[in-house]
Amino acid sequence: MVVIAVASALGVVHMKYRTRLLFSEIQRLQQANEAYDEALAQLQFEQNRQADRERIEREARARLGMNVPDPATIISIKP
Amino acid sequence: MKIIKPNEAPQDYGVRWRVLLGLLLTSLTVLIGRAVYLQVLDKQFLKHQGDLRHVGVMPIPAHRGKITDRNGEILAVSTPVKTIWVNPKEFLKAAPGRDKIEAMARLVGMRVEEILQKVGEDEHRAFAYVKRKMSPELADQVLAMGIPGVYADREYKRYYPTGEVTAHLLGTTNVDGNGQEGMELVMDSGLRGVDGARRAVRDGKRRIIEKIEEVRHPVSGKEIALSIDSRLQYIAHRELKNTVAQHHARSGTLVLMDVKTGEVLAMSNQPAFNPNSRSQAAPDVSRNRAITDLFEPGSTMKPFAIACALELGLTNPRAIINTNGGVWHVGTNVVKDVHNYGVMDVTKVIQKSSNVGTSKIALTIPPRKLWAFYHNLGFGQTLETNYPGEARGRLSDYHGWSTFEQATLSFGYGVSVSAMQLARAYTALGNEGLMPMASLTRVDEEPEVHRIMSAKTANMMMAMLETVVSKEGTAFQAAVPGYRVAGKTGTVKKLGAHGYTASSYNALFAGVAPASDPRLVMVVMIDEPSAGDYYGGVVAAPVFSRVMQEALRVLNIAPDQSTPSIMVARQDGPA
Repeated sequence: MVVIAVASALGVVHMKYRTRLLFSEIQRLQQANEAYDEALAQLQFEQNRQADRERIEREARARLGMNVPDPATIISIKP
Repeated sequence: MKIIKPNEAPQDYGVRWRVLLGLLLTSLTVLIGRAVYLQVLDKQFLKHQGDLRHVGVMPIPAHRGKITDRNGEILAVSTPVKTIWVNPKEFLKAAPGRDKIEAMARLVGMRVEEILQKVGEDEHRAFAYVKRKMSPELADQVLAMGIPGVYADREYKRYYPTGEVTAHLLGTTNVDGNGQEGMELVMDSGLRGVDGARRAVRDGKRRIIEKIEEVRHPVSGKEIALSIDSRLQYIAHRELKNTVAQHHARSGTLVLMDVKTGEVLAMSNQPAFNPNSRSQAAPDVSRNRAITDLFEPGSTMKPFAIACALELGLTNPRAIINTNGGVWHVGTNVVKDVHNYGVMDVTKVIQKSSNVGTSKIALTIPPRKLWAFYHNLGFGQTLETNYPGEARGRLSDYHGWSTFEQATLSFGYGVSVSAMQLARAYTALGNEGLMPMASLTRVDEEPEVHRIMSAKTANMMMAMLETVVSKEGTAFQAAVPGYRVAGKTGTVKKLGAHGYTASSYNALFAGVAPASDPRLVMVVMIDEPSAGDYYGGVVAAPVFSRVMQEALRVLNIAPDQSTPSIMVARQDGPA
């Protein structure tokens, strides 16, 4: 009886210890997750800034010298 | 040696002893009683009070769903931000040096005085916001300074990557992240998600020591795909903005709709505002005019009056109408044309936009039939989009119509519509008489359509409307190279406080392209162009042309006009 009680007590202590370990692990991962979320948001923000249509149009026209082709010069191929 | 002996007889201490014992026992009983009371009887209450001070249920804000365009491009997204707050009690007690507060002020972008004002002087307050929703990086730097009583919480901020391009349609959320206007409000219940809750033990400084359990896991809001195509939306926004500026107009509205599904592909208004700036835009600027504002459609209404007559077999495109003199007396009133067009057929009435001709045709229609036709086209009815502030428009009951009223209704006065209603009505012409339900969200299943008129009538009307976009018509500037376009101009006198104004107009164009197999319908409304030109064919039609041209190209819709430039490319073998 005493042996069982002691074993059970030790078990409780061990489990408590494990819980604490796992809990801190969860906390760490949650924090990492939040950090990734923030990084993702920052990157999406940056991507959207770069992908802004007004900016793309400006860059295409000014820097790359692109233009919308004149309809008269478009040849369409009938299927 | 003298021994002093107590001379008194030994007293009996028994009484004193008993009294003392009694006192001790009583106090013991009281103490035990109190202990029992606290530990057993009142335990629940006290434990609860203790927990209240140290164990708290804190909400975990749910992530609000994204709003995307029909192709999944992000239009509105909630990004994690941090909110800096202080505990004035601790802050004032620690009394950080001025240099520290200055450094903090720089990071949060405020003046030192502002911060001190927010903290206040009350030493008993435990909470005051300093700066809500700032960049997480800067907030972390503030925390790293280690000023006592300064804390940060995680929150979400709504961010609109497309800025003013989609500002009106999307609407806004308030500082707590709930939909306030526009699609944010329409879709709020879906976007919102369910906040989670977490029970945690806090110390006296409200810091979380131990997270006990998650009472409820937060459920993220749903992602919602709108019907608009951000590529077309951008084009529409750009052209509308340029035109409104060029013609010194008060405002402008453009609606581009899919003829077959009723999905709104672009919806733009001017003036616009930046939804990412914190300052609140005035309602005059922020409302989505395309849905909330009414105007008289003027000549853009004529195709429907004539289509009604065609449907009832009262006329045909070749029927001859006499508009000689350009003036027609209806009762005591007069219907006028801009020019005297003389004798012409119905097609020409549309092409030249003759009020006299249209009135003569419309007055052959029984009032009840004309009313029902307009009513079925959705005029004076809601579009059922649930959009906040959606206008129903006005179509008076036919019982009260005078002959003159019926005539004016045929050329679009005395009835008021929103740009979206007008665009939706034109889908009936482009879609062989079938009108779909309008939708601001992407339609993935078969759209619900209603038959408004026969395919024959709709096709006849389309053929007539094609003549408008020609050198002889009123809207040659609406032409799109390589494509056949059908449409109708409108130049509408605005209603002022005392009837129709003499010199302020709305310039309108409503059109469908490509005419051989309609895909897109667009309504352009420019409010009070005041730089000289004001005709719909001169002010609104060019916007239609430019936006439609790019939209057709972006959507990869094949040209349907055989011009010399369109030929079958030869395969000359390897070059």
